[in-house]
Amino acid sequence: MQTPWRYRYYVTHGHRNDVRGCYEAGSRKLQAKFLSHLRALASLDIHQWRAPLCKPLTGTGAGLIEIRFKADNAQQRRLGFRSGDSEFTLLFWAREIGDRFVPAGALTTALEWKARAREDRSLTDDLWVALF
Amino acid sequence: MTYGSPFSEALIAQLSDKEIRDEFVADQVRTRIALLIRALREQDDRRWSQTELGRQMNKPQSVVSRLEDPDYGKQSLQTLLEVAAAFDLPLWIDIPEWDEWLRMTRELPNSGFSRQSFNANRLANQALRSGRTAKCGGPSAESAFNEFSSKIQNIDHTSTALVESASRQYFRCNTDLDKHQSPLRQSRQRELEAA
Repeated sequence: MQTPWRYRYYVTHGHRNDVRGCYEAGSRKLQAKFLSHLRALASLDIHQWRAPLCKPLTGTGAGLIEIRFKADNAQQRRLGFRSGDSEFTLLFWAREIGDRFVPAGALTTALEWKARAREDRSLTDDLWVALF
Repeated sequence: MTYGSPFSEALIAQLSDKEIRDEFVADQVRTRIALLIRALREQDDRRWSQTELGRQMNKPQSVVSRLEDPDYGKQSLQTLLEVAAAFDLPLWIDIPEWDEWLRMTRELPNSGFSRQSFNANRLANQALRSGRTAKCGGPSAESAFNEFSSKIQNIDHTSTALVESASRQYFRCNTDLDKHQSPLRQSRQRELEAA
């Protein structure tokens, strides 16, 4: 049996697009899909971390992985990175509209937060929800 | 987070909200179906493209693409039966209790996942090994199996009609066997009760 992935998230204390803040502000359906997608990915080995559930980004977003699902009539994109063996850190909550991230600076911010999180693990915390 | 037990109290607390619970189940099931179809298609001894699976189902590739999209969620029972038939596998649908569901949905098809298509010879051998063809007063299931095996060895493997005919004969013999076994069991039961 595959060891389930553990999740952490970047704690921003008040910034917009904080993963936890967006989750709590979202609809019940969005929350359920968020839980379900993370739970599904948690049981998959790294080779199965690919579309349609998630996608490693290339180009400007290289080094980031987006977790993808549709909820509240929008393509939801959770940006994060693999922060250890079977560990994934969620950084930024964006949406994709017409092949563009909203907000526009999503990738830049996520990469900046990734660099900070790698330098200082205390900027991240264990996921606040249970998946199993 | 507790990974050792099938589910945690915290998860149950989150699922106490009916709207979250319903959508959670729907998304887990849709995701499972999507990943299951992909895993069966990509299985080592198949390595089918979406186009190939579509061909097996008499459907365009775009239909397979939708089936493998967890956000699609409009698969009909008929379509799922057609997918299963394309892989020559059976379909099973259930409405279990929550603890069982939470246990079953802990894992998804992972790398190395594999499910074997219908193989009459393999299944018949399995039945033989498990003693399903035990001798009794009715028609000899063992002779039926031997006849079945010889047919299997002689047939052209592309001739599905012959395989189906042999399978039907074999399983008819086993059904007859049950019919013969029942009166014997009843008679033995009466003897035991009288004693």
